[in-house]
Amino acid sequence: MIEKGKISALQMGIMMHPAIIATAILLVPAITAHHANQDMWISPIWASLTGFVTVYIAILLHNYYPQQTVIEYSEQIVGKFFGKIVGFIFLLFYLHTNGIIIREYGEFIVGNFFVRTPLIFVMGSMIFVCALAVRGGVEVIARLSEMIVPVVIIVIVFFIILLIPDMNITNMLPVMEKGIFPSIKGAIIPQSWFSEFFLIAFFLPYVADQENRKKWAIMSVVAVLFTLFLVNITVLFVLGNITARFVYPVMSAVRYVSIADFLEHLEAFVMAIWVAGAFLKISVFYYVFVLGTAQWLRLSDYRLLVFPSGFLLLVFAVWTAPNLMELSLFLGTTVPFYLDSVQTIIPSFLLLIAKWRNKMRDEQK
Amino acid sequence: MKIEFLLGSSIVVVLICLLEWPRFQRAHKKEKATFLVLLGLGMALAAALIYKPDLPGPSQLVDYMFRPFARMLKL
Repeated sequence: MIEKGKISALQMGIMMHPAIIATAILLVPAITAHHANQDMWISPIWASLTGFVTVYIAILLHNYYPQQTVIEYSEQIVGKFFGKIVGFIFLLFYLHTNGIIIREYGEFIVGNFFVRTPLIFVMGSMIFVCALAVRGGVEVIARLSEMIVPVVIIVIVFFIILLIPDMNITNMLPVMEKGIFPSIKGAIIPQSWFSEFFLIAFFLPYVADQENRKKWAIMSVVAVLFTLFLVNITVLFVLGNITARFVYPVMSAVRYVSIADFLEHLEAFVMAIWVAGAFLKISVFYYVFVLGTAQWLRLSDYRLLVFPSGFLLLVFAVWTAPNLMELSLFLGTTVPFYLDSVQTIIPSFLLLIAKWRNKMRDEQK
Repeated sequence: MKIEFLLGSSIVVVLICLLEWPRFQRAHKKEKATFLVLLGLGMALAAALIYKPDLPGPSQLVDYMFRPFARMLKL
Protein backbone atom coordinates (compact mmCIF):
# COMPACT_ATOMS: atom_id res chain seq x y z
CA MET A 1 0.00 0.00 0.00
CA ILE A 2 1.17 3.50 -0.82
CA GLU A 3 -0.25 5.12 2.29
CA LYS A 4 1.17 3.59 5.46
CA GLY A 5 -0.65 5.80 7.92
CA LYS A 6 -3.65 4.65 9.93
CA ILE A 7 -6.53 6.74 11.18
CA SER A 8 -9.36 5.91 13.54
CA ALA A 9 -12.98 5.74 12.44
CA LEU A 10 -13.75 8.76 14.63
CA GLN A 11 -11.02 10.76 12.90
CA MET A 12 -12.50 9.83 9.54
CA GLY A 13 -15.90 11.03 10.67
CA ILE A 14 -14.47 14.31 11.96
CA MET A 15 -12.51 14.80 8.74
CA MET A 16 -15.68 14.44 6.64
CA HIS A 17 -17.51 17.17 8.54
CA PRO A 18 -15.54 20.17 7.21
CA ALA A 19 -15.15 18.35 3.89
CA ILE A 20 -18.89 18.88 3.37
CA ILE A 21 -19.70 21.93 5.50
CA ALA A 22 -16.91 24.29 4.43
CA THR A 23 -18.49 25.30 1.13
CA ALA A 24 -22.06 24.16 1.92
CA ILE A 25 -22.52 27.25 4.10
CA LEU A 26 -21.01 29.71 1.59
CA LEU A 27 -23.15 30.02 -1.54
CA VAL A 28 -25.56 27.14 -0.98
CA PRO A 29 -27.98 28.65 1.60
CA ALA A 30 -28.86 31.43 -0.86
CA ILE A 31 -29.62 28.93 -3.64
CA THR A 32 -31.67 26.78 -1.22
CA ALA A 33 -33.59 29.85 -0.08
CA HIS A 34 -34.26 30.81 -3.68
CA HIS A 35 -36.14 27.55 -4.26
CA ALA A 36 -37.55 26.75 -0.83
CA ASN A 37 -38.22 30.24 0.62
CA GLN A 38 -39.33 29.88 4.25
CA ASP A 39 -39.01 26.08 4.10
CA MET A 40 -35.24 26.19 3.64
CA TRP A 41 -34.72 24.66 7.06
CA ILE A 42 -36.46 21.43 5.94
CA SER A 43 -34.25 21.01 2.87
CA PRO A 44 -31.13 19.61 4.66
CA ILE A 45 -33.30 16.80 6.05
CA TRP A 46 -34.27 15.61 2.57
CA ALA A 47 -30.74 16.29 1.35
CA SER A 48 -29.17 14.01 3.94
CA LEU A 49 -30.87 10.98 2.32
CA THR A 50 -28.22 11.10 -0.42
CA GLY A 51 -25.56 11.17 2.30
CA PHE A 52 -26.89 8.01 3.94
CA VAL A 53 -27.24 6.20 0.60
CA THR A 54 -23.71 7.19 -0.46
CA VAL A 55 -22.17 6.10 2.84
CA TYR A 56 -24.03 2.80 2.59
CA ILE A 57 -22.74 2.21 -0.98
CA ALA A 58 -19.16 3.09 -0.01
CA ILE A 59 -19.24 0.74 2.98
CA LEU A 60 -20.74 -2.17 1.04
CA LEU A 61 -18.10 -1.74 -1.68
CA HIS A 62 -15.45 -1.59 1.03
CA ASN A 63 -16.72 -4.87 2.48
CA TYR A 64 -16.07 -6.61 -0.85
CA TYR A 65 -12.55 -5.18 -1.23
CA PRO A 66 -11.40 -4.28 2.29
CA GLN A 67 -7.78 -3.41 1.48
CA GLN A 68 -8.31 -1.17 -1.53
CA THR A 69 -9.57 2.26 -2.48
CA VAL A 70 -12.12 2.86 -5.21
CA ILE A 71 -9.43 3.50 -7.83
CA GLU A 72 -7.98 0.02 -7.22
CA TYR A 73 -11.13 -2.03 -6.87
CA SER A 74 -12.89 -0.52 -9.85
CA GLU A 75 -10.28 -2.33 -11.95
CA GLN A 76 -11.26 -5.60 -10.31
CA ILE A 77 -14.97 -4.96 -10.69
CA VAL A 78 -15.27 -3.90 -14.33
CA GLY A 79 -12.00 -5.24 -15.73
CA LYS A 80 -8.69 -3.60 -16.35
CA PHE A 81 -9.59 -1.33 -19.28
CA PHE A 82 -12.95 -0.05 -18.05
CA GLY A 83 -11.58 0.12 -14.52
CA LYS A 84 -8.90 2.51 -15.71
CA ILE A 85 -11.57 4.61 -17.40
CA VAL A 86 -13.69 4.74 -14.24
CA GLY A 87 -10.58 5.65 -12.25
CA PHE A 88 -9.74 8.39 -14.72
CA ILE A 89 -13.27 9.82 -14.41
CA PHE A 90 -12.87 9.92 -10.65
CA LEU A 91 -9.47 11.63 -10.87
CA LEU A 92 -10.65 14.24 -13.35
CA PHE A 93 -13.74 14.76 -11.23
CA TYR A 94 -11.78 15.38 -8.04
CA LEU A 95 -9.36 17.68 -9.86
CA HIS A 96 -12.20 19.72 -11.32
CA THR A 97 -14.29 19.77 -8.12
CA ASN A 98 -11.29 20.86 -6.12
CA GLY A 99 -10.76 23.63 -8.64
CA ILE A 100 -14.36 24.76 -8.01
CA ILE A 101 -13.85 24.60 -4.23
CA ILE A 102 -10.64 26.63 -4.38
CA ARG A 103 -12.33 29.18 -6.61
CA GLU A 104 -15.28 29.47 -4.20
CA TYR A 105 -12.88 30.00 -1.33
CA GLY A 106 -10.84 32.56 -3.27
CA GLU A 107 -13.89 34.50 -4.43
CA PHE A 108 -15.22 34.56 -0.87
CA ILE A 109 -11.98 35.90 0.60
CA VAL A 110 -11.39 38.45 -2.17
CA GLY A 111 -15.02 39.55 -2.28
CA ASN A 112 -15.38 40.13 1.45
CA PHE A 113 -12.01 40.87 2.97
CA PHE A 114 -8.93 41.19 0.76
CA VAL A 115 -10.49 43.37 -1.91
CA ARG A 116 -7.20 44.48 -3.44
CA THR A 117 -5.34 41.15 -3.31
CA PRO A 118 -5.14 39.25 -6.62
CA LEU A 119 -7.34 36.15 -6.65
CA ILE A 120 -4.46 34.01 -7.90
CA PHE A 121 -2.37 34.89 -4.87
CA VAL A 122 -5.14 34.03 -2.39
CA MET A 123 -5.77 30.68 -4.08
CA GLY A 124 -2.10 29.90 -4.59
CA SER A 125 -1.13 30.48 -0.97
CA MET A 126 -4.01 28.27 0.19
CA ILE A 127 -2.94 25.50 -2.19
CA PHE A 128 0.62 25.77 -0.89
CA VAL A 129 -0.49 25.29 2.74
CA CYS A 130 -2.71 22.38 1.71
CA ALA A 131 0.18 20.83 -0.24
CA LEU A 132 2.26 20.77 2.93
CA ALA A 133 -0.57 19.02 4.79
CA VAL A 134 -1.09 16.51 1.97
CA ARG A 135 2.62 15.68 1.93
CA GLY A 136 2.27 14.71 5.57
CA GLY A 137 -0.21 12.02 4.60
CA VAL A 138 -3.61 10.94 5.85
CA GLU A 139 -2.61 10.94 9.54
CA VAL A 140 -1.62 14.59 9.43
CA ILE A 141 -4.89 15.65 7.79
CA ALA A 142 -6.87 13.57 10.28
CA ARG A 143 -5.11 15.14 13.27
CA LEU A 144 -5.43 18.63 11.86
CA SER A 145 -9.16 18.12 11.50
CA GLU A 146 -9.36 16.78 15.04
CA MET A 147 -7.77 20.03 16.14
CA ILE A 148 -9.72 22.45 13.93
CA VAL A 149 -13.25 21.01 13.75
CA PRO A 150 -14.14 21.46 17.45
CA VAL A 151 -13.10 25.13 17.23
CA VAL A 152 -15.20 25.62 14.08
CA ILE A 153 -18.25 24.04 15.73
CA ILE A 154 -17.83 26.07 18.92
CA VAL A 155 -17.60 29.31 16.91
CA ILE A 156 -20.71 28.42 14.86
CA VAL A 157 -22.67 27.67 18.05
CA PHE A 158 -21.34 30.90 19.59
CA PHE A 159 -22.63 32.90 16.62
CA ILE A 160 -26.03 31.24 16.76
CA ILE A 161 -26.30 32.18 20.46
CA LEU A 162 -25.24 35.77 19.73
CA LEU A 163 -27.84 36.03 16.97
CA ILE A 164 -30.75 34.97 19.20
CA PRO A 165 -31.78 38.61 19.95
CA ASP A 166 -32.08 39.32 16.20
CA MET A 167 -34.14 36.24 15.45
CA ASN A 168 -37.73 36.48 14.38
CA ILE A 169 -39.45 33.11 14.58
CA THR A 170 -42.42 34.24 12.50
CA ASN A 171 -40.06 34.24 9.49
CA MET A 172 -40.57 30.48 9.17
CA LEU A 173 -44.36 30.79 8.94
CA PRO A 174 -46.33 29.56 7.08
CA VAL A 175 -44.61 26.18 7.22
CA MET A 176 -45.02 24.28 3.93
CA GLU A 177 -47.22 26.97 2.45
CA LYS A 178 -47.08 25.41 -1.02
CA GLY A 179 -46.84 21.82 0.09
CA ILE A 180 -43.74 19.69 0.37
CA PHE A 181 -42.26 20.37 -3.07
CA PRO A 182 -40.46 23.70 -2.57
CA SER A 183 -38.42 22.20 0.25
CA ILE A 184 -37.56 19.17 -1.90
CA LYS A 185 -36.54 21.43 -4.76
CA GLY A 186 -34.40 23.41 -2.36
CA ALA A 187 -32.75 20.15 -1.32
CA ILE A 188 -31.42 19.41 -4.82
CA ILE A 189 -28.33 21.55 -4.32
CA PRO A 190 -27.38 20.52 -0.74
CA GLN A 191 -28.04 16.83 -1.46
CA SER A 192 -25.25 16.89 -4.04
CA TRP A 193 -22.94 18.20 -1.34
CA PHE A 194 -23.91 15.17 0.75
CA SER A 195 -22.88 12.90 -2.11
CA GLU A 196 -19.30 14.03 -1.38
CA PHE A 197 -19.42 11.51 1.45
CA PHE A 198 -18.17 9.08 -1.17
CA LEU A 199 -14.74 10.43 -0.21
CA ILE A 200 -14.78 7.90 2.62
CA ALA A 201 -14.20 5.22 -0.04
CA PHE A 202 -10.63 6.57 -0.22
CA PHE A 203 -10.15 6.59 3.55
CA LEU A 204 -11.88 3.37 4.66
CA PRO A 205 -8.86 1.11 3.85
CA TYR A 206 -6.74 3.17 6.26
CA VAL A 207 -9.18 3.01 9.16
CA ALA A 208 -7.67 1.02 12.02
CA ASP A 209 -10.81 0.14 14.02
CA GLN A 210 -12.94 -1.33 11.26
CA GLU A 211 -15.80 -2.34 13.58
CA ASN A 212 -16.67 1.34 14.27
CA ARG A 213 -16.49 2.62 10.71
CA LYS A 214 -20.21 2.37 9.96
CA LYS A 215 -21.17 4.06 13.21
CA TRP A 216 -18.88 7.06 12.72
CA ALA A 217 -19.64 7.46 9.02
CA ILE A 218 -23.36 7.63 9.81
CA MET A 219 -22.68 9.92 12.77
CA SER A 220 -20.76 12.21 10.45
CA VAL A 221 -23.73 12.46 8.07
CA VAL A 222 -25.99 13.23 11.04
CA ALA A 223 -23.55 15.89 12.27
CA VAL A 224 -23.45 17.55 8.85
CA LEU A 225 -27.24 17.39 8.64
CA PHE A 226 -27.56 18.98 12.06
CA THR A 227 -25.05 21.74 11.29
CA LEU A 228 -26.71 22.60 7.99
CA PHE A 229 -30.11 22.56 9.65
CA LEU A 230 -28.95 24.92 12.42
CA VAL A 231 -27.21 27.27 10.00
CA ASN A 232 -30.17 27.41 7.62
CA ILE A 233 -32.71 27.98 10.37
CA THR A 234 -30.57 30.71 11.92
CA VAL A 235 -30.18 32.48 8.59
CA LEU A 236 -33.92 32.18 7.99
CA PHE A 237 -34.82 33.55 11.42
CA VAL A 238 -32.45 36.49 11.06
CA LEU A 239 -32.86 37.47 7.40
CA GLY A 240 -36.32 36.11 6.58
CA ASN A 241 -37.53 36.05 3.01
CA ILE A 242 -34.71 38.22 1.66
CA THR A 243 -32.16 35.41 2.24
CA ALA A 244 -32.08 34.51 -1.45
CA ARG A 245 -30.86 38.00 -2.39
CA PHE A 246 -27.55 37.68 -0.55
CA VAL A 247 -24.52 36.03 -2.08
CA TYR A 248 -23.25 34.80 1.29
CA PRO A 249 -26.30 34.71 3.61
CA VAL A 250 -24.43 33.36 6.64
CA MET A 251 -21.91 36.14 6.39
CA SER A 252 -24.67 38.75 6.11
CA ALA A 253 -26.49 37.23 9.09
CA VAL A 254 -23.38 37.41 11.26
CA ARG A 255 -23.01 41.12 10.40
CA TYR A 256 -26.23 41.62 12.36
CA VAL A 257 -24.53 40.62 15.62
CA SER A 258 -24.51 43.59 17.93
CA ILE A 259 -24.48 43.04 21.65
CA ALA A 260 -24.70 46.24 23.74
CA ASP A 261 -23.01 48.25 20.95
CA PHE A 262 -19.80 46.62 22.06
CA LEU A 263 -19.58 43.18 20.45
CA GLU A 264 -19.80 44.06 16.76
CA HIS A 265 -18.09 43.35 13.44
CA LEU A 266 -17.46 39.71 14.13
CA GLU A 267 -16.99 38.88 10.44
CA ALA A 268 -13.31 38.31 11.06
CA PHE A 269 -14.20 35.25 13.12
CA VAL A 270 -16.36 33.95 10.30
CA MET A 271 -13.45 34.33 7.98
CA ALA A 272 -11.18 32.54 10.45
CA ILE A 273 -13.42 29.49 10.71
CA TRP A 274 -14.06 29.43 6.99
CA VAL A 275 -10.39 29.59 6.14
CA ALA A 276 -9.82 26.72 8.56
CA GLY A 277 -12.74 24.71 7.15
CA ALA A 278 -11.83 25.39 3.55
CA PHE A 279 -8.25 24.41 4.32
CA LEU A 280 -9.44 20.99 5.50
CA LYS A 281 -11.87 20.56 2.62
CA ILE A 282 -9.27 21.42 -0.01
CA SER A 283 -6.70 19.20 1.72
CA VAL A 284 -9.04 16.21 1.74
CA PHE A 285 -9.90 16.59 -1.96
CA TYR A 286 -6.28 17.31 -2.83
CA TYR A 287 -5.11 14.24 -0.93
CA VAL A 288 -7.70 12.05 -2.64
CA PHE A 289 -6.60 13.30 -6.05
CA VAL A 290 -2.89 12.77 -5.38
CA LEU A 291 -3.35 9.35 -3.78
CA GLY A 292 -5.74 8.32 -6.54
CA THR A 293 -3.30 9.35 -9.27
CA ALA A 294 -0.52 7.36 -7.64
CA GLN A 295 -2.76 4.30 -7.34
CA TRP A 296 -4.11 4.70 -10.84
CA LEU A 297 -0.56 4.59 -12.25
CA ARG A 298 0.58 2.03 -9.65
CA LEU A 299 3.36 4.22 -8.29
CA SER A 300 5.12 3.39 -5.05
CA ASP A 301 5.03 6.90 -3.57
CA TYR A 302 2.67 9.83 -4.00
CA ARG A 303 4.68 12.59 -2.34
CA LEU A 304 6.49 13.63 -5.49
CA LEU A 305 3.16 14.35 -7.18
CA VAL A 306 1.90 16.81 -4.56
CA PHE A 307 3.37 20.07 -5.85
CA PRO A 308 2.80 19.47 -9.58
CA SER A 309 -0.83 18.60 -8.78
CA GLY A 310 -1.06 21.79 -6.77
CA PHE A 311 -0.01 23.81 -9.77
CA LEU A 312 -2.55 21.96 -11.90
CA LEU A 313 -5.21 22.67 -9.27
CA LEU A 314 -4.44 26.37 -9.40
CA VAL A 315 -4.84 26.35 -13.17
CA PHE A 316 -8.14 24.47 -12.85
CA ALA A 317 -9.36 26.92 -10.23
CA VAL A 318 -8.79 29.75 -12.68
CA TRP A 319 -10.32 27.74 -15.50
CA THR A 320 -13.61 26.67 -13.86
CA ALA A 321 -15.50 29.94 -14.21
CA PRO A 322 -14.81 33.46 -15.46
CA ASN A 323 -16.36 35.19 -12.42
CA LEU A 324 -18.38 34.68 -9.25
CA MET A 325 -21.79 35.10 -10.88
CA GLU A 326 -21.06 32.43 -13.48
CA LEU A 327 -19.72 30.19 -10.73
CA SER A 328 -22.86 30.68 -8.67
CA LEU A 329 -25.05 29.96 -11.69
CA PHE A 330 -23.00 26.87 -12.51
CA LEU A 331 -23.34 25.62 -8.92
CA GLY A 332 -27.06 26.30 -8.94
CA THR A 333 -27.90 24.56 -12.21
CA THR A 334 -25.75 21.68 -13.42
CA VAL A 335 -23.26 20.95 -10.63
CA PRO A 336 -25.71 18.94 -8.47
CA PHE A 337 -26.27 16.42 -11.28
CA TYR A 338 -22.54 16.27 -11.90
CA LEU A 339 -21.66 15.57 -8.26
CA ASP A 340 -24.44 13.01 -7.91
CA SER A 341 -23.75 11.09 -11.08
CA VAL A 342 -20.04 10.66 -10.33
CA GLN A 343 -20.23 10.11 -6.59
CA THR A 344 -23.49 8.23 -6.15
CA ILE A 345 -24.60 6.74 -9.46
CA ILE A 346 -21.26 5.41 -10.76
CA PRO A 347 -20.50 3.79 -7.36
CA SER A 348 -23.96 2.23 -7.22
CA PHE A 349 -23.35 0.65 -10.64
CA LEU A 350 -19.98 -0.56 -9.39
CA LEU A 351 -21.73 -2.05 -6.38
CA LEU A 352 -24.30 -3.86 -8.53
CA ILE A 353 -21.60 -5.37 -10.73
CA ALA A 354 -19.52 -6.34 -7.70
CA LYS A 355 -22.54 -8.07 -6.16
CA TRP A 356 -23.25 -9.93 -9.38
CA ARG A 357 -19.60 -10.97 -9.71
CA ASN A 358 -19.45 -12.32 -6.19
CA LYS A 359 -22.69 -14.21 -6.69
CA MET A 360 -21.33 -15.81 -9.87
CA ARG A 361 -18.15 -16.80 -8.07
CA ASP A 362 -20.07 -18.40 -5.23
CA GLU A 363 -22.22 -20.36 -7.66
CA GLN A 364 -19.16 -21.69 -9.47
CA LYS A 365 -17.85 -23.07 -6.21
CA MET B 1 0.75 41.74 -18.92
CA LYS B 2 0.54 38.34 -20.56
CA ILE B 3 4.28 37.88 -20.56
CA GLU B 4 4.37 38.63 -16.83
CA PHE B 5 1.88 35.87 -16.08
CA LEU B 6 3.83 33.49 -18.27
CA LEU B 7 7.01 34.43 -16.44
CA GLY B 8 5.26 33.99 -13.10
CA SER B 9 4.05 30.49 -13.91
CA SER B 10 7.50 29.52 -15.18
CA ILE B 11 8.99 30.73 -11.90
CA VAL B 12 6.49 28.59 -9.97
CA VAL B 13 7.36 25.56 -12.08
CA VAL B 14 11.11 26.13 -11.57
CA LEU B 15 10.58 26.57 -7.83
CA ILE B 16 8.65 23.29 -7.65
CA CYS B 17 11.48 21.54 -9.50
CA LEU B 18 14.10 23.01 -7.17
CA LEU B 19 12.06 22.14 -4.08
CA GLU B 20 11.53 18.55 -5.16
CA TRP B 21 15.00 17.98 -6.64
CA PRO B 22 16.36 15.81 -3.76
CA ARG B 23 13.29 13.59 -3.77
CA PHE B 24 13.22 13.54 -7.58
CA GLN B 25 16.71 12.04 -7.73
CA ARG B 26 15.78 9.20 -5.41
CA ALA B 27 12.47 8.40 -7.14
CA HIS B 28 11.75 5.58 -9.57
CA LYS B 29 11.51 6.17 -13.29
CA LYS B 30 7.71 5.99 -13.32
CA GLU B 31 7.33 8.62 -10.61
CA LYS B 32 9.77 10.91 -12.39
CA ALA B 33 7.75 10.60 -15.57
CA THR B 34 4.45 11.32 -13.77
CA PHE B 35 6.01 14.31 -12.03
CA LEU B 36 7.20 15.79 -15.32
CA VAL B 37 3.95 15.03 -17.15
CA LEU B 38 1.81 16.66 -14.44
CA LEU B 39 4.08 19.70 -14.32
CA GLY B 40 4.15 19.97 -18.12
CA LEU B 41 0.37 19.64 -18.27
CA GLY B 42 -0.02 22.41 -15.72
CA MET B 43 2.40 24.68 -17.55
CA ALA B 44 0.79 24.03 -20.94
CA LEU B 45 -2.70 24.71 -19.56
CA ALA B 46 -1.48 27.86 -17.84
CA ALA B 47 0.08 29.12 -21.06
CA ALA B 48 -3.06 28.29 -23.02
CA LEU B 49 -5.25 30.09 -20.49
CA ILE B 50 -3.03 33.17 -20.44
CA TYR B 51 -3.39 33.62 -24.18
CA LYS B 52 -6.97 32.35 -24.48
CA PRO B 53 -8.82 32.96 -21.19
CA ASP B 54 -12.17 31.80 -22.63
CA LEU B 55 -10.91 28.35 -23.52
CA PRO B 56 -13.82 25.91 -23.04
CA GLY B 57 -13.05 23.64 -20.12
CA PRO B 58 -14.54 20.85 -18.03
CA SER B 59 -17.15 23.23 -16.62
CA GLN B 60 -18.53 23.81 -20.11
CA LEU B 61 -18.59 20.06 -20.75
CA VAL B 62 -20.49 19.44 -17.51
CA ASP B 63 -22.85 22.28 -18.33
CA TYR B 64 -23.49 20.81 -21.76
CA MET B 65 -24.03 17.27 -20.45
CA PHE B 66 -26.41 18.06 -17.60
CA ARG B 67 -28.25 21.09 -18.98
CA PRO B 68 -31.34 18.99 -19.97
CA PHE B 69 -31.74 17.71 -16.39
CA ALA B 70 -31.45 21.20 -14.98
CA ARG B 71 -34.00 22.46 -17.46
CA MET B 72 -36.34 19.59 -16.65
CA LEU B 73 -36.39 20.55 -12.97
CA LYS B 74 -36.46 24.28 -13.82
CA LEU B 75 -33.39 25.09 -11.72
